[in-house]
Amino acid sequence: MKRTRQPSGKSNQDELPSGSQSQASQNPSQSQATSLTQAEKAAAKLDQKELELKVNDLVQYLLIMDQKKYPIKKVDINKVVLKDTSNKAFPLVMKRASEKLADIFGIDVIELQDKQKGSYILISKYEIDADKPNVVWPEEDNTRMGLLMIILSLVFMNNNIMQDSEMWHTLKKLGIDPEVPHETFGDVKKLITSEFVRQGYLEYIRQPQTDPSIYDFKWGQRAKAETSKRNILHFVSQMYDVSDPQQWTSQWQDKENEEEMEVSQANSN
Amino acid sequence: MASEETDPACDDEIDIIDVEDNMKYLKPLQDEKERREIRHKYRTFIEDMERDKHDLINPESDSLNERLKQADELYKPVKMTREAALDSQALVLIANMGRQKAQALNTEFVKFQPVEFVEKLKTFLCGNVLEDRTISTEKWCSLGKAVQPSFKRCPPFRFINGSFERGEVQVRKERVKKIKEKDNTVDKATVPVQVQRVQDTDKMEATTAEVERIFAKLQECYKISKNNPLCYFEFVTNPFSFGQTVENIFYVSFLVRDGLVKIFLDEDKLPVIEPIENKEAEGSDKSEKNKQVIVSLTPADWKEIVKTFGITDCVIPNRPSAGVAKKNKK
Repeated sequence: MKRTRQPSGKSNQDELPSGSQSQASQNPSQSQATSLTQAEKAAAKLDQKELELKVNDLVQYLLIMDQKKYPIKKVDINKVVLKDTSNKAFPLVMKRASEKLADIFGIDVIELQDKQKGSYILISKYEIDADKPNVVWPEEDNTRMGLLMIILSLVFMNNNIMQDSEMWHTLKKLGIDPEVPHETFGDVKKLITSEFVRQGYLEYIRQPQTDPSIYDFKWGQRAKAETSKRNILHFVSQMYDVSDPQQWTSQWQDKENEEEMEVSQANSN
Repeated sequence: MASEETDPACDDEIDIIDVEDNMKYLKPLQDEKERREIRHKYRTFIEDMERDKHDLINPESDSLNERLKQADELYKPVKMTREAALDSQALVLIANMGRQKAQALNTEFVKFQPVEFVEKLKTFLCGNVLEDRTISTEKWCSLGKAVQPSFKRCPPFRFINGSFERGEVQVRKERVKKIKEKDNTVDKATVPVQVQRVQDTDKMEATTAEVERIFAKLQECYKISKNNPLCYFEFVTNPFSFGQTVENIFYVSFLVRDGLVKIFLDEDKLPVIEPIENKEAEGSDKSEKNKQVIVSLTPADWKEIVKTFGITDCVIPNRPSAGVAKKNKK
């Protein structure tokens, strides 16, 4: 059921202009209470139709900008979609756009934190059933995912961090050399240290005060959102042809911790 | 002290006392020589640590602890800030190494070995084949397909049918450049181009006909001179008309372009012209690079040439003026 068109249909949040402010701030599930009320004020200046247009524009914008899987910046959204509309309407427009994406496309919009704060990525809400895969990906995507999976596994199993020298040493066994152009991947070093990092799959952090500089690999925010430690542990166990992933005691514990945290987060929401 | 400070009558005395007090803090507490020694020791200490880094990071060895004790000892004689700063530097280094050591430390029963994992991966992908264990693009692809369900990726948005028709890509035929081998006697080169523009398609037939005529004339002269190359200037120059001279040069250039005629410098460094035998014509296109030469000729030059070479009559017959050329199709 579409929740977006009729303002009367919503009980709490996006009631337009008058009188909704107190309700909005009381609603516990709203994390951006104050900004939403300001947003509502700004939205009051837009009429229903214009707001709707903006929301739809944002949905389109997000879908198209997601093509390369680079995080979509708030600044760009304000510039391209909101344009002459007040930037304060952003939270409201984003919220509505996210709802549409979730309802119609099954896509979650996730805001990144830390270094990439202020940018958004699109994640599918639903996991694909491995027995009935319904999406066919192009070859480039497939090959990259294969490589990424290996890197993420290595990092995770190595206690969530791996030094670049060790990473390259290991990858060399697979025929991947940072100095040599690869038949499938081309400039592998750039792919791993630049492209994957930019997309949010990996973090490539410089160790301070090292000379020559040493870098560490860690999971990026997109990786954390798109997959889970359980998946990776499962994959690794498959490689070892081991039926009991619990034998990896610390990694198992790691995964358990992560799952506990997820559960508690879900409960508190 | 406070009361002394506020009493203006005792200003001078206060100043001296204060200054002396303050100077106490400025004067180094330590002998410069001593300080230098300490600094030297610290620097050596830091260098040694960096050199022995691998050993220190190794969780098996206890050397990092010993270094820490050493640093402690080194600190004892330190009294001034500069040395203390070096001490901090050393400690930061120790702390970093400690971190790396902790990272390297592994308490698992089953330790994860990256290399082992990768070997298993290769077996998984390529089977137990002993020799060729390189992972081809297809293998990467199939690995990727197998792992895609582990990721909640949303497919990128693409139009099914593309956005608009691009149309056929027009292949531009490259204009064939004139091949000329000639020394540049003068600078500007607009004359030949102008002549070309004057010609429109109607006159193309006239050009081709003219070119053929000139070629025939050249061959005739060539035979007369017993197969010796002819002097280029003597051939093209028309002592009666500058314009015709230029046209002659133009037509000859067509012959050169088509590989029918050769222009080169003889022993006296004068350009000479010679028709090419048929068999050679084929080969010369491929073996020789296309040389492009821009010729420029001013009326003054032309007069000079006429005088120098003593050209009294035109080898290439005078043509009637360009406007009338149409009627004279041969």
